Parts: sequence; structure tokens; C-alpha cells
Amino acid sequence: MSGLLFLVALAGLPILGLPLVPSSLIRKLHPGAVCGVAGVIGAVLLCTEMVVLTWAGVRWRLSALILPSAGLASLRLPSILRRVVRALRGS
Amino acid sequence: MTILAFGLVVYAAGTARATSSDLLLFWGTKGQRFAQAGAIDVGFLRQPDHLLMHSDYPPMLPCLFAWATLTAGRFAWGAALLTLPLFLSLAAISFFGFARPALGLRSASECTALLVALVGFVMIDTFMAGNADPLLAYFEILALSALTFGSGKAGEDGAAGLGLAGAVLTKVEGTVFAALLIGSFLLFGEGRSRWRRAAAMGAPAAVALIAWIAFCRKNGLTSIYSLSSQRPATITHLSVVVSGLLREGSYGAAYIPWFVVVVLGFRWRDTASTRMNVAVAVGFLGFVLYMYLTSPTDPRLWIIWSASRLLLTPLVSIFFAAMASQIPRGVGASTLSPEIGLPSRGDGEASISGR
Repeated sequence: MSGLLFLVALAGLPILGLPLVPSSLIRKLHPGAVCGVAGVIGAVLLCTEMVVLTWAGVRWRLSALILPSAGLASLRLPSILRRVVRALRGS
Repeated sequence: MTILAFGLVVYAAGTARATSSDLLLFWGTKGQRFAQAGAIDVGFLRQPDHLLMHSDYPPMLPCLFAWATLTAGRFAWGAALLTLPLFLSLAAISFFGFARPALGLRSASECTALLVALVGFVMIDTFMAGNADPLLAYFEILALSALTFGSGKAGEDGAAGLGLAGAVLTKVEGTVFAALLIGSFLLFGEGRSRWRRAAAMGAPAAVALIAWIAFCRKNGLTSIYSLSSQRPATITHLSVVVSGLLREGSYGAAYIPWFVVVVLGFRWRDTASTRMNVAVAVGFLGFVLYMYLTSPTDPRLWIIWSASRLLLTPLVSIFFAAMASQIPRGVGASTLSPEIGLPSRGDGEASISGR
């Protein structure tokens, strides 16, 4: 079970990065490209957060690491998902 | 073919047939230790016994492993092997997503299958499962896809820039790749806007690199990024290096991966995009050669251990040069240049010709 969770955490990088992908990019790019870009954003975001928290002397916690992405997601995800579904139907 | 190639990669990685001690002694250990410490464990990295872990090596994969460890509750060594197919699939999805509008569904699907087979074979042959190389390849493939197939819009440049930032934070050679790609873009791109575009693309990578080096300096982590510790190249071991590179570059398969990418561009056309990708490949080969020539002792073992992995980057760059030759005539021809109000030249040059 922990192995599966380990993989899901890494496979979820695009979900973590998706709220930070600009809407204009989601409209213009193919969903596959959006997934790739979201994955990079998720990875870079996590890495940056971890370096910054270490620098600040704050111990890593899942909640703190997810916070920026989750905050934005709560605001943007419904509209982003609508667009992705629309784009998938279109392609 | 994609599914077959991908299935073989999953099998080889999942059964530990495609991994090496790097996962146990370097990437995995760092990730597990960082997760236990809840931080980038500077004290652990500074210990003299851990010299071969390169204290200032870019932190992306150990951080991602730590993230997964925090989520799962423990470091899952078996699951870490499957990061190879995971990052390969992300690379393939990114490639297909950027290639689909430029090549059409059929061609993009065929090229994606070839990419998965080619890169998958090299990754298995060079024991990359659980290492940072698949993650680096994902970032490189994303950046090259955005530049080769994109239409030169700010969003695609941004995607390439993010890929380069990821590459810089993943491995030292990611910085070399980023510098070469930006340099080649400047050299072969056209139009006055290329300087602005190159600056926009390079900015995330530059910020990432400067921030990481600043972190290392502040915490006394000095190894690879300490310029004073670098040795000049000599030709003492030139013959050993050249013969070693030729041997490792064959991938035990009579250079078939290289023949495949050369044949793939059977209609090689001289476009700016082709030149840019070839320049990245040639520049990276030069870097690899230079790096081994700096070795104060016989670099034979060093080459056996790392050369075949390093050569994946030029191989992928030549693959993209071949792709640039395949882009149908006229793609991007409708892209208007905002600077001069004329259509760009097409012929696959849309992404790097001046807007």
C-alpha cells in the first residue's frame, strides 16, 4: 500500500501543478502538453518550497507543501477541469 | 508499439533489471534522509563520509522522493524503481501534446512510439531506474518539444523555460543543457525578439540555479559548483576517453539508436530548428568529452559508469533535429510576426523564427 501511495504522490505532480498553469496556456495547448507543463510546474514548485522551508528552518509537513497548490486549486480547479474536458472532447 | 515498448520498460524497471547502486547509495538515501529530517539535511550532506554524495548536487529528485516518502509514510524502494516508466510516460505525453498540432495525429503517434522505444531502450540499457536521469530526460524532452513544435508564442516559451528550470534543479548536466539550448536558440533563431524570448526562457533556470548555489554557499556545501575545485582539461587521456565514449555510445547494440534517429530524419532539411537541435547535440558531446578530459587519473571506470547515460541528451537532441525535418512544409506559415507584420517562413521554423 505504501508503495502505491509513493507512486501516486509522484504521479500526482501534474495535479499539483495544474492550478498554476495559466488559463491562456490551457486554452491554447493540447491536453497532453498541458499535462507535461503541469508536471514540471508541480515538481519545480515542490522543490522550491522544500528549499525555502529548509532555508527558513521550518520542518516539512504535507499540509505546508500542498498549501500553495491547494489554495490556488480551490479557486481555479473547477474552471480548469471544465476547460480540459472541453479540450479533450474537441481533440 | 508504444504500449509494447512501455510494457517492456515497466517490466525491466519493476523487476530491478534496469537499476543500479546509485538508487541505493545516492538518490534514494538522500530522499529517505531528507524525509526523516523534514528538511534538506545539511549536516548529513556535509559529513566527509558522504563525499561521493556530492553535497551541493541539485536537489530535485531527493526532494520528490522525500515528498513521496512523507505521503506514503516510508521510502518505498520498489516503487522508486517505477519512477523510470512514470517520468518516461510524462515525457511521452508532453511530446505527443506538442507534436500533435504540428505533425498530425498519425505522425505524432508514430513518433511518440519511436521516442518511447528509443529512450526506453537506452534507459534500460544504462540502468536508470530510480535515478535522476529519467526525470532529467522528461524536462529536456518537454523543453525541446515546446521549442521544436511550438509556434513561438509566449506560453510555449514559458513551457520551455520551466523545463529548463527543472533540468537545472535535477542534475548538473541539466545546467549545461539549458545553457546550450539558450545559446543555440540565440545563434540560430531569427528576428529581433529572440533576445527577449531567450531571456524569458532562461530566466526561470537562472533563478533556480542562483537560488540553489546561494543555499549551498550559505550552508557550506561546496563540491561540484565550487569553480576553484575544477581542473583544466588535458589531452593526457584523450585516446582512452575517445575510445571509451565510442564503446559506451554503441549501447551494446552496434549504434542502432543513433542510426534510428539519423534515418528518422530521412528527408533532412536545413531549418533553424534542425540547426538548433544539432547544435545542442554537438555542444553536449563537446561538454562530455571535456568533462572526461579533466580527470587527473585514468577515466576508464568513470566513463563506463556514466558515459552511456550522458549520451542520452545528444541522442534525444538529434531525435528532435530529425523531428524538425519532418514538420510539414508550411507549418507556422500563418504565424504573423508582430514586429514586421509578415508571415514567418514556415518549414518548421515557426517556433524559433522571429515573431
